[in-house]
Amino acid sequence: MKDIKVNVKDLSVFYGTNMALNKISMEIPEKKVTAFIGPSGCGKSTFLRTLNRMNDLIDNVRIEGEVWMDDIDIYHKDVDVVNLRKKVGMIFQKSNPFAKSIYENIAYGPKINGISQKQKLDEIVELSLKQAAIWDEVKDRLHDSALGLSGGQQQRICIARTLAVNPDIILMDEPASALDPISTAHVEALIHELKKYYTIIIVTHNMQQAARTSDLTAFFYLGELVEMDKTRTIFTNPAKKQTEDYISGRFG
Amino acid sequence: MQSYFQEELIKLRKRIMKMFVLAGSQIDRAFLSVTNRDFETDDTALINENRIDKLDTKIDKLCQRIFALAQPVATDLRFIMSSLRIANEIERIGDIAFDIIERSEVLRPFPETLDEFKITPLFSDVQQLVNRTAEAYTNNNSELAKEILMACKKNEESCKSVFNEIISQMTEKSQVILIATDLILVIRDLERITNHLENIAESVVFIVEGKRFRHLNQQ
Repeated sequence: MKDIKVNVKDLSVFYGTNMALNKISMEIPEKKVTAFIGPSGCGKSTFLRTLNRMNDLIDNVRIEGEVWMDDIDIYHKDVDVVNLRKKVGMIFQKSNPFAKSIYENIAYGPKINGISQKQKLDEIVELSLKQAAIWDEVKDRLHDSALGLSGGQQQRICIARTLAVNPDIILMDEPASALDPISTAHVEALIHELKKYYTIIIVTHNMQQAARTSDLTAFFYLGELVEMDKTRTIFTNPAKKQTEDYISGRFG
Repeated sequence: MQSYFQEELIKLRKRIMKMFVLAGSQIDRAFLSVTNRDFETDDTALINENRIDKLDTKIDKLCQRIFALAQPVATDLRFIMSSLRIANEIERIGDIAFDIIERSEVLRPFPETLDEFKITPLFSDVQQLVNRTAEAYTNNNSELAKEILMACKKNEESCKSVFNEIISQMTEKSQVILIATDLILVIRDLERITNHLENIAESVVFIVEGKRFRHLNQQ
């Protein structure tokens, strides 16, 4: 097992008085893909959002417990949240490129981080688009609107935009659920490639996608972490009956 | 969708059970053909053999369909993978029983020789093992499957000991050589059937517990 990138200890999240996550403890290894699965409302997206403190943006949220990234407690009062989100990029279910050119979408993050030299920005844009496996498709139209691309291409532009600020961790919240099978295959192949350089955490409702793309799988139910293990174990011989029932579609 | 998948699994289990019944009746028939002087050959064995082969093909197709359409995981995945393997093992058992029936004419006139070499208990042990293996599969009973694994080992040893006894008789009494040669083939066949039953029992343990016994007990 590789080094631990994220160490979560007894994490509970409350929306008002409603407990969304109940004392979750988990170790997420570096440069691996970890998938979160579970029925809607089980807390997996809430948990994902605690990893870049996106829940801070929601009123009435209370968080207990600790989330350590490397040797930093990300909920410590001295932590710079903007800096944290630079280190922890996020890809959403629906691709959300800015209404700008492809180039500007990618260069946006580096620019607000103070990079202004055109040559340097060009390099970052090219490298990010290459890493996101979309360079060949867009290199001749970098200054066209990103909104003119297909859904699958837009999602890869969003991934490139995330990579441009050089994160350590990439969070993906159902990144392929709105894509056709070919675009999904592109995104999955990309995940496989990106894990060489980044720690990836993916929330998915697609069991086969979790099985195909991840090294570890965590099953959540009713705000609890039921089971976490190697993906191959979860999908061939899970320890808990609840996990087995869920992955084989016998829930409820 | 869900109930359709469940129906497919039930169908698969029923087909394997049918194969067990047919293979069992082929072994019963092989036993009679060897031991019963009044046994009369007819088409029953051939008809059963063809039914077993057809079921094997149908199970192949059914499993292929389930894999493609339902993408099974965990216990379902182990059940389908193993059922595919078990169908092949039963099909081989059927083939071997059919071979015994085809060769039985030579042995049939000599029931006293069969008694002398304790062929009858060997046969009935195998018949019992088939029934118990079918029961272990049908009821997902891994404890019974483990007992069968031990019984198979014992049975293989019995086959070896009868085999050695025949060889020693062959060296002492030249008049038994002709019939003994055919007897050796039957014993070899019973041993091979036992091996196939052992593989099936290992698969049952794998289905229920997710543990691979396969080849472990040979190390």
